[in-house]
Amino acid sequence: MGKTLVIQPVSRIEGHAKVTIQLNDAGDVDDARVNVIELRGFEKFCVGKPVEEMPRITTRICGVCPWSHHLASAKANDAVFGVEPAPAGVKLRRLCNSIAYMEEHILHFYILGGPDFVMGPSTEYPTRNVIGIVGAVPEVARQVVKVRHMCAKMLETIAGKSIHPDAAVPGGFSKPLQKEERDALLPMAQECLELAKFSIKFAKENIFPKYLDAVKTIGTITSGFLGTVAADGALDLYEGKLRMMYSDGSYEDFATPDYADFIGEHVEDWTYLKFPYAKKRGPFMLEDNAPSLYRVNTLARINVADYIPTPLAQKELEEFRANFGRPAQLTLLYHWARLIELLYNAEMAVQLLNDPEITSRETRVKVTPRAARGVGVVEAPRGTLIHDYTTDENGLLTHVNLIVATCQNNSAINLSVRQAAKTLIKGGQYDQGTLNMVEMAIRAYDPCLSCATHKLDGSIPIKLDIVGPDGKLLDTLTNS
Amino acid sequence: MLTDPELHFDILPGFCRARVLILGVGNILFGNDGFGPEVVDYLTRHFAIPDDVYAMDVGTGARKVLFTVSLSETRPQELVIVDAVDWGQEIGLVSEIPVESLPITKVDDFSLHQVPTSNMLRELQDDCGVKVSVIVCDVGEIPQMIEPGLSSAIEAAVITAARKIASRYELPSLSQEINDHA
Repeated sequence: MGKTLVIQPVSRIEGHAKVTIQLNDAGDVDDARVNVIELRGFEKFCVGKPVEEMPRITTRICGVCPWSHHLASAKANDAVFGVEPAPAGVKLRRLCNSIAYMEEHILHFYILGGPDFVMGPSTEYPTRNVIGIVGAVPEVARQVVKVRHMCAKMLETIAGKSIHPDAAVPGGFSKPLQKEERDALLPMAQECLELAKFSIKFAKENIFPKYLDAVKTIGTITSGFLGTVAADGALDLYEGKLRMMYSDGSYEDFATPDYADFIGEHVEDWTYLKFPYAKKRGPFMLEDNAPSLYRVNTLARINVADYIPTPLAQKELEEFRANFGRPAQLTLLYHWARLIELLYNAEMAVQLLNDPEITSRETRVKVTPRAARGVGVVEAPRGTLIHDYTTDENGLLTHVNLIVATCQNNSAINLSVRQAAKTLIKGGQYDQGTLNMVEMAIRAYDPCLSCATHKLDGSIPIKLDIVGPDGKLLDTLTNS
Repeated sequence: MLTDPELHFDILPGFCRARVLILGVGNILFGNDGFGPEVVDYLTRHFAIPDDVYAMDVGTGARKVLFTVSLSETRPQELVIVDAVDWGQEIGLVSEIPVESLPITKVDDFSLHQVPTSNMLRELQDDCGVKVSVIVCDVGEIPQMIEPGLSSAIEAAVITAARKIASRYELPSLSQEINDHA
């Protein structure tokens, strides 16, 4: 008798999602789908508003990565107004971006994704969480908290506030950094760097070797990758050209305003979330190793970059590539790549704070409304984020298009869950540990569904319903 | 790793150092879901907020703050969560619920969009000595598409909730508060 397993919503990812696993008569997995409710109406809501309000409005889309939306929007504004932002303003934006990245990557590694590894994927759910981390490695947890404090404090100092920022403005940054503020921030950035160095060493010695089998099996798929690189091919999370790397390692570079020539958006009737795909490589197919399949986020960026322009992260990249090649495909390597990026951002923060221009008083240039189109792209912690605005001669928006990072991993998340479920569930046998390992395939992508979803129910965090072909509920598993 | 105890207090964000931390939770882009942020906005515009009280509109980012507070060695003595719920009660009804009565179904939820994670709030109260208050307003259904703005019933509820908080913490009223309701 065929059965349907439903995991709803998936815990410890940002937002909510539902996973449906369809079993066949033999109890093996026929298919698996991740359903997400898309946030609808945002683009329409924005039309008619002054474009310069967008960097402030877009931070309300998502309380999880407001800085990415804020910066992508500010960059789209620069383009709409046709200005090159003041160099010091760009450096302050980059600095905030690096700090926000550190905050997010630390959160994910130690709190959202980390418990799977630190506590073990089969540990009972009530202890397989942040409180469990504190109990298991208290000294590490203390340092993690301290550095997260410092990240919030640094953003507060530089931009006035860390949630709902409004400091990036068309043409630059509204608030110059004082020299005494820089002097206070530098030791904090250096301590962040120490934690970043410790984290990757800790993971390489204690975590990754222990779970190498899981890394090689859970959620593995083969795909292309999309990410931003500088003109010379270096990793760049704030500015550059887009690089679409295919699964054979070949790639095409293109300017950000041309994204629509390379990225198509497919719609399926079982989910509101679109499926972006590499349109130059053929039609959309929700299949492993499909020519048009690509992924974003940490592993994608580490794959597409020719090198990393900071010494410690570059050394880690070389070791990573020696172990896993380029492009590396194993899904759980997103965690490893995340730690390389943590190190890169920590190095960048120190480097930027040591740059004398960071305290320049000239942080913005004047802008004048005009009819134009502007595209702003940044690498959000969870992947490439695109803001595309068109304005009339008064600077009022006539068209808005956003492609958010998690949306671009929609296909990959679905395929990884399908692969994990097919590998782990055989003959109708499953338990809580199995359920969590299916979830691990999703968490590797660190999906943030907040900008893609708005779901307001107080339902059970993880619920697995077993339903027969006649729709009758046969069994329910929960973790409460 | 580096450790510098002297640095610790100075690097704490303001919300950890406050005696009372008030968090307005919700998304102002989705109609009445903006209840929590609007309460904080009303408080800061109509009442004098002393240095040891920190009121924050955290939007949909409450999780960031709560994670940090829950694992910090320096925490507020009191935490007030202000949020919207849809529990089928009278629309606009403002009530305070004990942490213990938060739905058990939220116990392991680490995603904070409406009522923040009850297990974290319970940890804060039971293990960390933080007095946690949860003030909620039943706002009915939330629009599926973006539609900012509160209904009149929820606008009134914002004032009710703000006055309740102001009264509890003896926040001095600013003159505008009197003018608005004269």
